[in-house]
Amino acid sequence: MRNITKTNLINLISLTLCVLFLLFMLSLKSWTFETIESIDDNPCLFTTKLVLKELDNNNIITQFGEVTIFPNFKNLKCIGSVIFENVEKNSITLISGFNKKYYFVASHLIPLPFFILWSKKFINSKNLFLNLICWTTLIQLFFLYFNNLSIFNYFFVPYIYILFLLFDGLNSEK
Amino acid sequence: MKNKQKDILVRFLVFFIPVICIYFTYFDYRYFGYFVILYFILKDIYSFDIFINTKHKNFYLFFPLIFYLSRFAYAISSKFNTLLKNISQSVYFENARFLDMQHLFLELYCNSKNSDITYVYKFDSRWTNSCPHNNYWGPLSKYISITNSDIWLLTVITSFVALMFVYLIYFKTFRSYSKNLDLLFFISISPPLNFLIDRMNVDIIIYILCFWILKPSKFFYFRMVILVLLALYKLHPTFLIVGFLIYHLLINKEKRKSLFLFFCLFFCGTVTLLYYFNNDFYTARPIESSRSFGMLSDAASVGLLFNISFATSYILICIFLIVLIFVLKKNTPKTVIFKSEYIFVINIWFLGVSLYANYDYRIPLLYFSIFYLLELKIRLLNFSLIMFIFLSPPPSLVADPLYNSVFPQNYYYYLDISFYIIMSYLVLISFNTIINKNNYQKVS
Repeated sequence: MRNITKTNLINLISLTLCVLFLLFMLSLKSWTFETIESIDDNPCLFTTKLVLKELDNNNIITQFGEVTIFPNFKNLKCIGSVIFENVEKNSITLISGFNKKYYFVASHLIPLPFFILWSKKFINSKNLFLNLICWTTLIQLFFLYFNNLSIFNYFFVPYIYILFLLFDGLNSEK
Repeated sequence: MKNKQKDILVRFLVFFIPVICIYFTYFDYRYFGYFVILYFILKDIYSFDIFINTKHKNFYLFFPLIFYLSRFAYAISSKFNTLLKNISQSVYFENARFLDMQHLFLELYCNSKNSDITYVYKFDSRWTNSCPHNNYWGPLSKYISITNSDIWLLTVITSFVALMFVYLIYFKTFRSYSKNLDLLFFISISPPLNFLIDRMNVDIIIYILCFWILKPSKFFYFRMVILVLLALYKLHPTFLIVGFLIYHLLINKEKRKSLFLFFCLFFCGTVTLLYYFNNDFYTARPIESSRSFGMLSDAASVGLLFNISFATSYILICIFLIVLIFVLKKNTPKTVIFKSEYIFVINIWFLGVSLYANYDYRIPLLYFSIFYLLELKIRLLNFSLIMFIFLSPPPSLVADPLYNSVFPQNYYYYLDISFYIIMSYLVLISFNTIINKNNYQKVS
């Protein structure tokens, strides 16, 4: 009985945080359609993809630049967006924002607490996968759609499967 | 219910695997490794084997040959650039064909007296080199020379012969195995082997020779002399000699062989060090995380990512590895050991090279022990091996072709946990083998 309560509490906390995080990210997004001409006014409003689609790709030099998101969380919206542009005679330079540390830490560490809770039998397999799907999908969605970066993390599914086998092995040892 | 699902899945896979393999290998190779991983996840869940008594056995036997011949055909004309790109991965693709083999013959020609040439690599004029040319491989690479200046012709002939030998290894293995044929088929066209035959690095010759050298035979001393020559040419086979030395010193306790191997190792070390000190010589250090493996490679990427010193990141990775070894030690029985000499030697080699940085085309040498490792039936190790092999080099992280020219290949770094799991298990099993030497089955 106590275990069921614990599981429900963990699920409730996890899902609440998940929804809050999603709302926080959505609040950063501008939903109004902007044109490329206004890049100068607010570069972070434009996804690199949108700009590349509109401009002749051959004449554009594109690079990725680090954006700091701690403590300035509002900079999250600059990930995948144009953060610097320079127009010269024959070429345009666009620098798009990214944060390698955030993506590295989010991809590797977010699934871990749920596997630890699972190995300690605080949550069952069903709830483990529910939480994993919520959190990891959210992180992936953030990079795939929210900022239109179109990054696909090929390691993600095999990494989760390896964690599953690792913690499953530790469980059976107990 | 599960059996019904399994039947449907097996019927589907029997028919579609040849189609999927043709599509991924010829039209979009980047997803091939990922497809194989998903196949093995399904196989792990449903426990099926579609390669036994299959009607398509000839397809699996001859498809790798067609793949290698296609690669060779695409290499002989610049008109096939697009086709070659389709069967390669973007992380290493170059228009230059068999790049490292061209490097090799250029260096050998430049080693000869009065050689003077400015060579434009086929088929990429951005690659142009003149004599003197150094590949920085090993001391022996500076002492062998050729007088034929037709580097491209030599490259084409050698590459064709090498490809035929690679296929011969596959053919012989396929005919002699009755299980795990699916894995054997997939690794014959796997990303590391594809990378190796794209570059035609000297490692392909080491790979071919090791197929015969590492297997037990009467000509032990002759085999060791060949290994010494290889070690002086490319350095990393030194760890194969180390493996043989540990085996004969600690496990087999054969004093004569141990003494000979110690002398070989001493000779290799002395020649290499003398060459280092007397020449402006260094070896390539592959740190591009997208196409290299090894603790040194990871340390460089972690250091750059978190803005910490190289030494600190290397120490942190070592600590991570030690913790992982202790975690995995709990569920690794002490009876799990390497039961043959060459399996032990290959795994010691892998542990040795993993301490520094290597391009992914060095992984195929591990293939000689993979079927033995699978027989140990450690699920985590098995899946880690599959993940490590089929995601090395990984596909480009960019899913949208619009970003192909935008996102730098090495911009994003991902810690390949499967590599550390493999290392941890190999350390534990090697240690078990040395400790439990009395249970060791001597292979003649």
